[in-house]
Amino acid sequence: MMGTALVGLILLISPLALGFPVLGILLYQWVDLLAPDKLIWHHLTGMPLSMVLGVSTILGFVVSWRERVFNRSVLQWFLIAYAIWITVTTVYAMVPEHAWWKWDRTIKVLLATFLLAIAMNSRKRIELALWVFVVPIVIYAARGALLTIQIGGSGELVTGADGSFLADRTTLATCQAAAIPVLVFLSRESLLIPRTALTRMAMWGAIAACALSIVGTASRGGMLAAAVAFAVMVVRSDRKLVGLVGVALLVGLALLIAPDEWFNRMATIKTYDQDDSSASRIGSWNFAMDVARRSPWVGGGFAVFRLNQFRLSNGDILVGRWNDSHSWFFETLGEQGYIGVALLLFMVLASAYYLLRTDLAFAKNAERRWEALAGRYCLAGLFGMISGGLFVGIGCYQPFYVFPVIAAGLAHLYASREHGASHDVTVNRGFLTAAKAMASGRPREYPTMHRPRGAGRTLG
Amino acid sequence: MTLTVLFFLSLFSLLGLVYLTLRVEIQAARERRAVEQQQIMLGQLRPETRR
Repeated sequence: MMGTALVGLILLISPLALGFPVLGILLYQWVDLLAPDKLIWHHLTGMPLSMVLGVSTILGFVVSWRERVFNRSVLQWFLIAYAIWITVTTVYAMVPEHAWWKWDRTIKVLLATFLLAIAMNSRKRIELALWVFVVPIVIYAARGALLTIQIGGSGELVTGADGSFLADRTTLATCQAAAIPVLVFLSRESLLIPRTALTRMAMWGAIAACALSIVGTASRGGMLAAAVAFAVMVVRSDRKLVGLVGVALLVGLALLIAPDEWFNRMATIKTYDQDDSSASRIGSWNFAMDVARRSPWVGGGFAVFRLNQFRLSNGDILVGRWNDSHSWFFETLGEQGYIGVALLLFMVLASAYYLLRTDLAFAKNAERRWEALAGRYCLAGLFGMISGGLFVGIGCYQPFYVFPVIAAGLAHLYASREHGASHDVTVNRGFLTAAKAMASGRPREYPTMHRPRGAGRTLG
Repeated sequence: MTLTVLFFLSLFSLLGLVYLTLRVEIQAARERRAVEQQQIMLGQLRPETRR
């Protein structure tokens, strides 16, 4: 009954996407990440919620997009290039019967990311995109934290909903680690939610829930992601001592509640060669390098890891089952070859560059300080995501592309003279122009790489 | 019990998202119209190009 009511509500809201495409794309991301159909009402899993929202949103972008300028940073071009490249490699896939299924899922993720990225031209929209990322994660974190306290975090209990992007516990823990810096940012600089004592408490409660839930997953990749995200936050923080104390408190709380199973699990890091989970990871990475060596141009295509064989420590060999890549880097290397992995790496590096550039440029500028903080905390989130993702194949998952979207938004605002209006008309000229302007020694705060006001490209 | 909590969390986050997005988008549309109106008055934008 509750599930049907929520589905009905989403279906009722979806026509609004025809008039407000940004609402449609944000709703699509919310449904995709939270997967409420898989989390709450399993009997309605077959409902094509994403499809209804996706179609409404695309129609909305075609018929009612009224922006005179859209964000067209270099990241969008790389998304397009990557989408074309994965299509080419899927044509030559070694396991075509399974490759097209994954292509279908990935192309939808890339399309949704692209549409969201071109709409990122104002502070409020950037903040909305961040809320849409953290809210589903916090809902899972609340569930995970309760389970961790109640049952003691056995590692098998705290996972996402089956069939969703967050189903795997390492993916869930990595996303929660990446969400913590974003939550810190929103608690400090949110424009959409009033900053009261109550909302601040709620935000810190959400951060604590994320930390507890990460412990509850007993994921080693998740712990690494959290450590990297915290390290970047502390290194870039203005008040390093306060940051260190905050991190120490959070870690102390988590360790206090962490059960014995968690300590046992972490101890296996030292004896990784005797652990099937670690051995299967190393086996997958070797397999990916082997595929890339044999087929350097187009890789093995999606689902090539099905051809991988695992020899377990008891001598058994696992063949023909779904063998995960266990790393976004090796996943892309094995499936998309050297060109695919270069495209994805460039997107990640360009995102890191945009985020760091914004942080460095506006850290001392009171008026644009929120941009500096957004860049700083999203950089911590991005590093958390890519470091945790080194141990789980999330290269085709929607959360992986959240920080590039935010980087594209901040790059757009960086290039605008007046960022106050919600529809800035200056256009970001992209990574290469920005790099050239910086190399020529032009002032950081107001780089001269704008088009004149009103000269933006028109859509629709 | 857990399902009920998850349901209400999902419901409130959905309603909050819709409310906030509509508020932002409607405000942006108003600002855009005001800028266009100003540009038309200053002769920077011809009325027929206004959408």
